[in-house]
This record gives sequence, structure tokens and C-alpha cells, in this order.
Amino acid sequence: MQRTLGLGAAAIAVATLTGACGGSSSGGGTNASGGGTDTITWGLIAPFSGSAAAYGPPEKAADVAAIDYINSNGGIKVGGKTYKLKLKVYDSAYDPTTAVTVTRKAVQEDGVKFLEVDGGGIVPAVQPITEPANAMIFAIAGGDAYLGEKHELTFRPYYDIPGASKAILTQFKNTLSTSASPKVSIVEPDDDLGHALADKQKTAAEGVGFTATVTFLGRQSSDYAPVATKVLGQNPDVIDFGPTPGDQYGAFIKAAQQLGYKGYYSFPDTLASSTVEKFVPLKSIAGSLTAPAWSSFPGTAGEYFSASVKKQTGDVQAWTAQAFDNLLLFKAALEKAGSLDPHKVATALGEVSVEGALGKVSYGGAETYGIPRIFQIPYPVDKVSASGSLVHVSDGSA
Amino acid sequence: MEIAQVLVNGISYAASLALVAIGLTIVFGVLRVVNFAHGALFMLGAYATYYITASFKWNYFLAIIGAALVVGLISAFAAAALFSRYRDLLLEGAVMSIALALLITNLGWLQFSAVPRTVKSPIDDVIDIGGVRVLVQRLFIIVLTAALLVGLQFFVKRSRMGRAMRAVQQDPHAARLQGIKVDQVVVLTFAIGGVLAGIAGALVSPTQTLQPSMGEQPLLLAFVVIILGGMGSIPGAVLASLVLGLTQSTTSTYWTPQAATWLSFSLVIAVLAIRPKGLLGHE
Repeated sequence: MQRTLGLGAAAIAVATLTGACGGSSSGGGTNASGGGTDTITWGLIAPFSGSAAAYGPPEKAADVAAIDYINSNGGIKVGGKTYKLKLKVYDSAYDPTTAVTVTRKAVQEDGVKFLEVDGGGIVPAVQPITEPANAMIFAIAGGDAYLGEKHELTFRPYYDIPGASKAILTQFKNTLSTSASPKVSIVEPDDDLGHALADKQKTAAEGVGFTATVTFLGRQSSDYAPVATKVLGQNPDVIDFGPTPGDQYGAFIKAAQQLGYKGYYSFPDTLASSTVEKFVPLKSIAGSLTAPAWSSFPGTAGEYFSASVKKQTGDVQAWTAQAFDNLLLFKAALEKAGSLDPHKVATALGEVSVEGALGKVSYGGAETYGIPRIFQIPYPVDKVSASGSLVHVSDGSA
Repeated sequence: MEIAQVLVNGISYAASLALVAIGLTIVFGVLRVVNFAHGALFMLGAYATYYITASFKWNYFLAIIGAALVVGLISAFAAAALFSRYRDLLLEGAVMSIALALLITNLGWLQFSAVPRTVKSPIDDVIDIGGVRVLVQRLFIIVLTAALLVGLQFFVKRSRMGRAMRAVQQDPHAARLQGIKVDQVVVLTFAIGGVLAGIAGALVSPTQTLQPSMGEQPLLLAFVVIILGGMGSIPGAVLASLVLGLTQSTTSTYWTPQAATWLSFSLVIAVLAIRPKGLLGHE
């Protein structure tokens, strides 16, 4: 018995050790931010495993690109001293419990004061750790429940999904041949983010003349035929995917097409073309719309971003340009504040703007959130053409 | 017409679920070990199919055989090296299988990465039967599962080795006294369980996104199936898979996918309250 239990314990130890190796990775050193050295640590808390593991690597690539760009252009000058940025990566597994554990490590053990956190369901979970420690959060996430005057150090460098959905549906309303009120079926992930956005997306859709219904799709779903059957039973003209991950809506589209759906799709969290192509040819979703559609990245920063990210991952996922631009804004705010104090940096962030990969970007939204904490960007709309390529159809400035 | 579509979806789901659950239940029946690593074997079957078709350019059907052999061998090795020591040790065997599941899954994250993958099937067409749209791949899953279950039942009931498996299941000590090589039977049973998990993974790989965690949900439902059907009972697992598949499909379509999960567990609790040995389980 002792031998068998010993073997079992050894196996668990090996498995746990392997899990630790696979579950998180570190891209930086151990210096704490503002710890009297010439290094500022930027903590990235994103999913590199679990159901949304596809988000982490491209986001990391954008951060690496921005940090290389800033460091190679002289670093950050604060109070007569020049700092270099350093990236430290933590795997949240897109799980609030895991995210809390790694955030605690980042803030309490590693002393990181500036964190980029991925996931609308993750940010509220880690705020109780970051806020008492005066650590800043830059949320690459949908939803807005975590923003406002009570969360002074939380920013959202991410587009508004209901806003993008509205831009897309406005475009559809102008072009659909359906004379009566067209129908949109909104498919939301069944998590905090999906539930937080469902009503707002529905309201946005109804605001532009659509009849809208919402269906929730489990993050762990593996067989999409039952949910697709349900959605198709609503006879939609458009299926809107909200913040659903690309591999999930790719599989959903495949199931919907197999069930005979020939209508359009709306991608208000941007179309992950290369992911969808693993499931269906892009030309099979011709006429579908995506926003915000950043198909090119002009300017010095934009060219650097796209070249660096492409070199790292072989692909440029446009949404990650927000992470890139946010770091440029962060640099500008640090220099304006002349301090590493997160409160001073937060104030300065509301006052600076930069020419980033997406053009001129800044923080705003004081009229909604009391303080300027949300990215100010337009929502250009692209259409999937008959050949499968994307064509620009609207600047989406409304 | 929608209800017919729901039935087809449910039966197809039940077929792949049955393959996973039956592998799990025969291992428990013979070894009295609850194999938590079975979901990881299912995942390996799917990835084996992906690599065989993508890297070696094998035909999908040959890849299914390849995946079955690969996973069967891994399972047999695990039985010989690890699980044979845990026969009738329910707790220790379960702990070992959890450790093995964690090990395989985490090695999967390291080796296969988090990038979602898909497998192209040569039978990706759709047949329209009176408005009910049936994917040929799903029909293939149903037909192959049925054939495998008939073959397995025949093997267990009629073959010499199948009789040995049943003898070991009933009383391993008496079986050993009758000259049955119990250790070989254990390894063979694990190999069969692995083959079934590998085939299940290969069959669903064109209909799902491949990720190293993809075995977790089927494993959970397979446990529901074997508890509902009766631990160790193959016909019970088939019946329970059908009940669960239709429950999942119906609830997902007419309610929500999340309700399908808790409704399935509620069903198990209700059945066990009335019939603790499961639908077709033995005392």
C-alpha cells in the first residue's frame, strides 16, 4: 500500500509541476515597478490556457511590439530619469479564480503596479486585489460594470461592443431588402460579460429598427447543432455574435450552415478571419459585416505594430492594436505626470492623446462614467465580399 | 420539423457520448478503477487524428484507425505500468487516474499549444431528409458507434477473451484459479477502453474545436452516463447515453445549454434516489 500511495503521490507531484509549467509563463524579470531601478514592469494577465486561450498569444505579441517600440525610441522619461518597460505575463486561464491567484502574485509578490487584464468577467474579480494596492488596470475587455468613479484606476482600452453592433446593424438596415422590421439573433457567451452586454446589444439593435432576440452560448460548448437549431428557429436575417470567441463562432457558423442557414452574420467584436476559415470558407459568409474594422495601420507606430506582430505570430489580429496604442498612451501619461504614482498617471491619462496604430487615440467617456476611462475610437465597418476578402463600407463615425 | 432535427442532433450526440462512456464503464467493471484519465485519452484521439491527417496526409478513415491504435497502446501501457497495481483500490486508483489526466492534459497544452485546431472530414456533406438536415459525418458517427457496440457486445459475450473479461469482472480471484491471466485481461480491457476513447475523439474531431481541455466535458457527461446506466453495464451506458443526448439536445434547443447540464445531473439524482444501482446496473 505504501508503495502504491507513493507512486500516486509522485505522479501527482509530476502532474502539478507540469501544470505549473504549462499554465503560466513569464516574459519579464523580477524588478518591481518604480522600485528605484530603471525598469517599469507591465503585467499582462490574459488567457493562455482554457476556453479562451486563443486571446493570450496575440495580445502578448502586441505588448511585446509596443514595449520594443517604446524602448527602442528612448524609453520613458520621468522626472529626469529614463525608464525601460519590461513585460511580465500571467496566465488567467480565463477563469476568475485563477485570475485572482495570479493577480495576487503580480501585485503582492512581484509588486507590479500597471496591469493589462483580459476579460470582462475577469476584471471585476481582480479589482478587490488591485484597488487596495493602488495598482492600475487596463481592461482589454467588453462590459463596463467595472468602470466609473469608484474604480479610479481602472481604464478600458477596448471598443464598445454594443457600439460596434449598432454601427453594423445600421449598415445592414440600409442595405437589407427586407421591408418589414428585420430580425437579429444575438448570440452571447454565457458568462458575466455576455449577460452584461445582452440587454445593451438588444437595445442598440432595437434602436436601429431590428427585432432582437438573445441566445446564450456556453463557453464549454462542444456540439453547436442544438443551439444553432434554436437560433435558426427564430428565422433571423442576421446573427450577431457579440463578444463570442472566434473559434466558437467559427464552429457555430459551420453548424448553422449545415442546418441550412443562408443569412448574414454580424461580428461586433471583429471578425477573426483566419479562425473562421478553419471551419468554413470566408466567401460562404459573403455580405456579413465586421466592426470595428481596422484593416490597415498607417503611420510609423502602425507600421511598427503590424510588422512586429506579424513577425511574432504570423498574423495580425487587429483588436490587439488597442493594447499597442494603450501602451503608447501610458508612456505619454507617465511623462506628463512626471511620476510613477498611479493616481497621477490616471489623471494624466485623461489629458493625453497619441498617434497610435489606430490613428489618434485618447481616453474619454467622462459624461458616462464620471471620469475619462474609456477608449475614444470610431467604428469603421467592413463587409465580407463574394471572394472572401474584406471591403470597407463605412467609417462608422456615428 | 424542428423536433425531428432536435432528435437527430440528440442521437448523434448520444452516439459519441456512448463510445466515451462505454470505454469508461468496462474499465470500471473489470478493474474497479474510476478512470479520470479517460477524457484525456479522448482528447489524444482527436489530436492523433489531426496530426495523422495534417502531418502525414493520411486519409481520415485511416486516421481513425491510427488514432484508435495510438490511444489504445497508451492506455494499455498505462494499465500495465500504473493501474494494474490499483485493482480494487477505488480511492488510490482514482487518485492515480486524476494525476495521469492532469499530466496528459498539461503535456497537451505544452505540446499541442492553445491554438484551436479543426480536422477536415471527407464526409462533410449534408443530406436534407424532408427538411431535416443531417450531416453525413454525424450519420457516420451513429452508424460506426452502433457497429462498434454490436461488435463489442459480441466480443464480450462470445469470445474467449470476452468471457475472461466477464469472469474477472465477477470475481478476479476465482478467475485466476481457473487459469485466466488476470493481468493480461486488465491490460486488454484498458486497451479496449483506450481504443473506444480514441475512436470517439477521432469521430468528433471534424465537428468540434480541438483543445487540450476538450476531454473534460465529455468525461463529466460520461460519468453521468455510467452512473445513470449502472456502473459496469454496457447496455445501461447505451440507454443512458441516449437519454442524456436527447436531454442535452432538447434542452439546449428549447431552453439553454446551461440548463441542459444541470438538468442532466438532476436526472441522475432523481434516478439514483429511486434506483441506486442505475437503470440497468446489477447489485
